[in-house]
Amino acid sequence: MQRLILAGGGHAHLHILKELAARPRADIEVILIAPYARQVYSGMLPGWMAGHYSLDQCAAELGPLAMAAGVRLLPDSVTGIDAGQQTVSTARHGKLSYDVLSLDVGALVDTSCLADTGARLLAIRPLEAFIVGWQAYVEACTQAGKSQLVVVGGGAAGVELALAARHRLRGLMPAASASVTLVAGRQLLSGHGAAIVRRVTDTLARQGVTVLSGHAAGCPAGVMLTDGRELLADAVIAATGVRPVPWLAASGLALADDGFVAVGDGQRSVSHPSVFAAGDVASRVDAPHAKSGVYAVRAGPVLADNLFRALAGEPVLSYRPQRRSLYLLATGPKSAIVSWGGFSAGGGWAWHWKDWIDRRFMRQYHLGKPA
Amino acid sequence: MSDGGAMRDQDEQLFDADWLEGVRRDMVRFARLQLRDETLAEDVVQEALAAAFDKAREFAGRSAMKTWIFAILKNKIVDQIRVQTRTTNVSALSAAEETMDQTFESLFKENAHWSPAGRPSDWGDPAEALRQQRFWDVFDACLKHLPENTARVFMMREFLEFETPEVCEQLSITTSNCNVILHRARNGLRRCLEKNWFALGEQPC
Repeated sequence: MQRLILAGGGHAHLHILKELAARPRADIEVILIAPYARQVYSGMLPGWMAGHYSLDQCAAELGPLAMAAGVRLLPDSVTGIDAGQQTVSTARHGKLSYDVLSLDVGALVDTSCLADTGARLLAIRPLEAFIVGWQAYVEACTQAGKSQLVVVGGGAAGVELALAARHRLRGLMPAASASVTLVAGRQLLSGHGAAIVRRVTDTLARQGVTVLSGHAAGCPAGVMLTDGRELLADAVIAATGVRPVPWLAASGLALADDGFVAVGDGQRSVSHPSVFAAGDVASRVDAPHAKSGVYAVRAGPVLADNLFRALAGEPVLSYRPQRRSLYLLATGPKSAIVSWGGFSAGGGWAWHWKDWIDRRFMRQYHLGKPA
Repeated sequence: MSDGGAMRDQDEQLFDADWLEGVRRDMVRFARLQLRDETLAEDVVQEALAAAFDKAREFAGRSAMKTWIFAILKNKIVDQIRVQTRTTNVSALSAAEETMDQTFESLFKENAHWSPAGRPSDWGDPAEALRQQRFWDVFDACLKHLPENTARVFMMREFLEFETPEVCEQLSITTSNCNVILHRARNGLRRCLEKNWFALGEQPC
């Protein structure tokens, strides 16, 4: 019997589980290797941080989904791949061979410029580690009655996390003691239109988040900025650039310039036809796009098709990532900013829209649970 | 743009090849000492320099740029050291140095702590001076004049700001061993800095 290994429980793989539950394949052995029992939806993370959602609402339990799909779930981490031998090494289950392998293991945050900070360092990947770290931080600063949080990263994630953190912290202590600073790099939301940058800048100011331009390096007091200034911090959230999991380098797979798996238009490795990748672990060499969950979700259906086509020896279908994507930024209180192409708008209605989209998206993975 | 010319001049000054080569050389020595891997050392220095070039316009001058390069380098080295421990155990001091340290340990055993009165008045604690204006002098003296392992331990503690227990864990040395090495480093640096910069002007140590 042919074996398909799904490494990682990302959004694209959730879709494959759903697909298999609807159309079971008795002729293929499918194994899902995932280090955590659930998959937390990153789009709802700011809402959870702000206190609007419980963690259950933001997470899909992998166990029931795998069972419904007839997939064997191995609770384990991938520690290496030998693409030439077609094997996957795991931390606790040894080596497994595959006929087709699909990678959806995400990325790590590059914290190498912040490693030396004396403050609590919270990297937003892996998400499960961030969740534990954020809860511990909230507890610690509730006790202390003050917070001095620095968020590093001026992209959409940095903005959302800073606003969510500020909203949560000001509910736990006097607003003036809940200090949140966003170190935004050269420019806030670079790559986004001027209108949305203006709107986000206003929102940050209104919510009481201090925004500094420049880059940050870790130092014992907290972080040092490019201009030499030191910012005192009790915690530093790293929402900076991503880096690949270290074992990819030795996998034998062709990698893109950024170190992630180089894939072509069917999400198939350009060097090894039996390997596919989607989500942040993959870089489309033909149509590079931002590393964002939106793309992983969209790639899911095509990836599912192509994995089964590859097992059957059929040619794969191509998938064209959308040129522009709809961004819905959560902005702390139950409010959001919408950005699509050059258009931007915001308010409570946008939050309700985002909330509806996110919960509807998650509902398909909540088996037997009220949504 | 009216300030275009000024910017270019500033860039040229910042990117002056000789100055950069000097900075790079010091950084590579420091990184090599800490990481004990030629290629890794070259890599982290390259990354730190790239992180600075990228932002050349944000610096007020060379000294600000050097401070930034060093700050990034420190973080990259700390990151690497922690990755290394996760994967392999960093080897202990060599046998020869072990013996040397034992000798030193025996010297210090009776009086494990520095007596404050024994401290020369014009040059206090090198670690304290680090936090002040003598930073690059101490950095330079460390690289040029301390034996390799002594410099590694001292720089790990004072420049990379690892806590003593972590220094011991990373290098697989005992706390007393570490303290002896730190004493030896302070002692050596004090002598060297007094001779060179604080009393007589620059001379070989």
